[in-house]
Amino acid sequence: MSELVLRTLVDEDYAQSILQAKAPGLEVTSARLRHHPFAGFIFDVSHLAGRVGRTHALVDYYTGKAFISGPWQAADPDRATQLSPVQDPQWNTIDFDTARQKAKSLLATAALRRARLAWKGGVREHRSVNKVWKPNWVLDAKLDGKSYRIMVDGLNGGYFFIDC
Amino acid sequence: MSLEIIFLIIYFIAMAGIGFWAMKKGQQDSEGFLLGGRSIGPGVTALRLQSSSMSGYMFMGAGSLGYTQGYFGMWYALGDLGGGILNLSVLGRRMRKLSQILGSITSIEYLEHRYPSKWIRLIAAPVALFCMFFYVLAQFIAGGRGLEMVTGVSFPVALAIAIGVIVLYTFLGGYLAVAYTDFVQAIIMVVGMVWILIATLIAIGGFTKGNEAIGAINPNMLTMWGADLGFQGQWGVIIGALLVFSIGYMGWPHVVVSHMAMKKPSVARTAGAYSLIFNLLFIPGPYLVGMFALILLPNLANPETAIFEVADAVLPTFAVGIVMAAIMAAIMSTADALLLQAGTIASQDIYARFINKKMSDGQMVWVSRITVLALALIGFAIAAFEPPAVAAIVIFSTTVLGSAFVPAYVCAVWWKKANTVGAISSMIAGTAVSVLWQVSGAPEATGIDPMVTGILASTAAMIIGSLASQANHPVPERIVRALDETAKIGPIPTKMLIGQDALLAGQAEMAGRNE
Repeated sequence: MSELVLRTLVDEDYAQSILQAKAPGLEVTSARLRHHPFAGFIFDVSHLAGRVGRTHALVDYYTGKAFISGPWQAADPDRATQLSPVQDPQWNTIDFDTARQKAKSLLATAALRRARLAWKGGVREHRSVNKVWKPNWVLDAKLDGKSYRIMVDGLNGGYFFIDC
Repeated sequence: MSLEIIFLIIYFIAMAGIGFWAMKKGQQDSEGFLLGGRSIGPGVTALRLQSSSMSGYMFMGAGSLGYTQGYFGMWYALGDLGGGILNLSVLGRRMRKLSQILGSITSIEYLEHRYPSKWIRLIAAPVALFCMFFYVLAQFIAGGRGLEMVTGVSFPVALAIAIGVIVLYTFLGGYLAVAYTDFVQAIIMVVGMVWILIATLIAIGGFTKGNEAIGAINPNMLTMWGADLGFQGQWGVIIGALLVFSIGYMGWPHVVVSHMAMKKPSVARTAGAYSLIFNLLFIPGPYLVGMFALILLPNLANPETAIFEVADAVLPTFAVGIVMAAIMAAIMSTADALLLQAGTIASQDIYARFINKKMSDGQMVWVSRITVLALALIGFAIAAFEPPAVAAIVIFSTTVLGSAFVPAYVCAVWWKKANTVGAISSMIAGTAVSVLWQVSGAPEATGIDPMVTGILASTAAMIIGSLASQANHPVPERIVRALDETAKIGPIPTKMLIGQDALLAGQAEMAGRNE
C-alpha cells in the first residue's frame, strides 16, 4: 500500500503568527501536529488546443470531500515516522475506489466548466497514492479571556475554528 | 455594411476575446477548475448575477409592459429592484459556505447533498431543464427580433443567426470567462439603457412633459392599476408581480450558482450593495422608455419591439449599434449561462446519475453538446413559426422555478429541520400548483397570481413534509454539523471568522472529535 507523508510547510511559529496577524492579542498556549488521511491522485487532463495539464487531487477519507491541490512535497524520512494520525470516526469513511471516482468526477466536471463544450474529454490517471497524510496544526489559544481551538493547515496556513 | 452591424460584430469579437483571455488566466491556476476557483469578488459577483438574470426580458417584455400598461409595470420593477440584494442577503453568504463544506459544484448537486436522496435530483433536474428551455426560448426570440430590426433580414433568418451566435458562445470560455464577460456585459447594459432613457426624455421634452402627454393619451396609464384600471384592487396579481422577480430569482439554478463561486462568504454583503446600485440605474429604464414610446411611436404593431424602435428613432446611428450590443449583451449573458447549465443538468444530473453511471468524461461532453443543440433546434422550430410573447414566457418560467425551488434553497441554509421529504414535497407542490394554476385559467378567475399560490403551496409542503417525517427521515448528523458551521457567527472573533478556510471544515470537525 503506497503511502506518503506531506512535508509540513507551515511550522508552529508561522502558524501562530498567521493567527496573530488576524488577532494581535491572541495567545497560543499549545500546538500539536495532526495528520489527516487522504487518497491522492495525479491526473493528466486534456485542455484545448491539444495541451495536457497535470493536476493533483486529494480526497478526504473521512468526509469524502475531493479537492484539487498543488504538487505534493514529501516529508523527510525521519520526520515521516513521527506520524500523528487523526482517528477514524467510522461513520462517514469512504474506500479508495470511491475516492478515485470522486476525484475523477471532480476533474471532469471542472474541466467541462472551464473549457465548456469545446472540451473533448480526457481525464487519465497518471498515478495514485493510497494514503497521503496531510499535516494540520491544532492550536489552543486565548483571546480576550476566551479559549479557542483552531486548526491551521500545515501546507498553506489557512485556518478554521474547531471549537470555542 | 451598416454601422449597427459593424458595432455588433466588434462586440461579438470583443466578448470572444474576453472569453479566451479569461480561459488562459484560469489555466495558470489549478483552482480555476472549480467555479472560477471560487475566486470571484463582489463587483463581478454582483454584476454577473444581475446581467445573467435580467436577460432579453428587460428589453422586450418590460418595454412592452410599459407600452401597454403604463406604470403598472413598475410593480415588477419594484420587485426586481430588491431582488439582487434579497438574493445575496438571504442565500449568498450561507450558500457559499455550505456548498463548500458539502463539496457541491452545481446547484442541483448542492440540493442533493443538502437533502440526500436521488429523488431530489430526479425531480429537480427535469423541472429545471423544462423551465430553462422556456427561458432560453425567450432569449432566442429577443435576439432574433433585435437582429431582424438592425439587419432588415426576415425574422426566421435573424433568429437562426442569433441562435447560432449564442450556441457558438456556449463553446467559449469557462466559469471565469462567463463571469468576466457577464461583468462587461452588465456595464454595457447599464450604459446602453441609461443612454436610451436620456435620449427619450430629451425627445419628449422631459419627464414631466412626457407624463402629461401620456395622461392626454390615457390617464389610466399614469396609475399603477393598468391601462383600463383592470388591476385596481387585484392584490393577488400585484403581490405576484412583486414576488416573481424579487424572490423568484432565488430559484434559478444558473443564478444561485454565483453564490458558490464567491471568493469568500463576506463578499455577499458588498455584492448586495453593488447589485442595488446596478438595479437602481438599470431597471426603471426599460419600463419608462416602453411607456414613453407611446408618445413617439403610437402605432407599433408589436409592443415588444418598443425599445428597439425608440432607440432607432432617438439615437444617432452609431449609438444604435452600441445599444444593440447592450441588448445582445443582456440576451447572450443569460442564454449562454442557461444553455451551459441545461447541458450540465442533462449530462451529470440525469444521464450520468440515472442512465449510464459509468459515463466517461468524453460521453459527458457529448450529452451536453447534444442537449444544447437539441434545445437550440427545438427553440428555433417553435420561435420561427409562432413566436410567443417574451414577457409571458419569462414570467411563466420564473414563476414555476421560483415556486419549485425557493423554499428548498432558503430552508437548506436557514432551517435545520428541513429534510429530504420536505424538499421533495415542496418541489412537487410548487411546480404542480403554479403550472396547473396558470394553465387552468385560475389567475383570471380568482385574480391571484400563480407565483402567490405556487410559493404558498411549496412553503407549506416544505414545513408539513419536514415536520411530519422527522422521526423516519431525520436530517443526517453530518448535515446538521455542516449547518452549525454555516451559521457560526457568534463566539468566533469577527475578524478571524471572515478569513476562515472552509476547505478545512471537515478536517477540523474530525480532528476536534478526537482531541
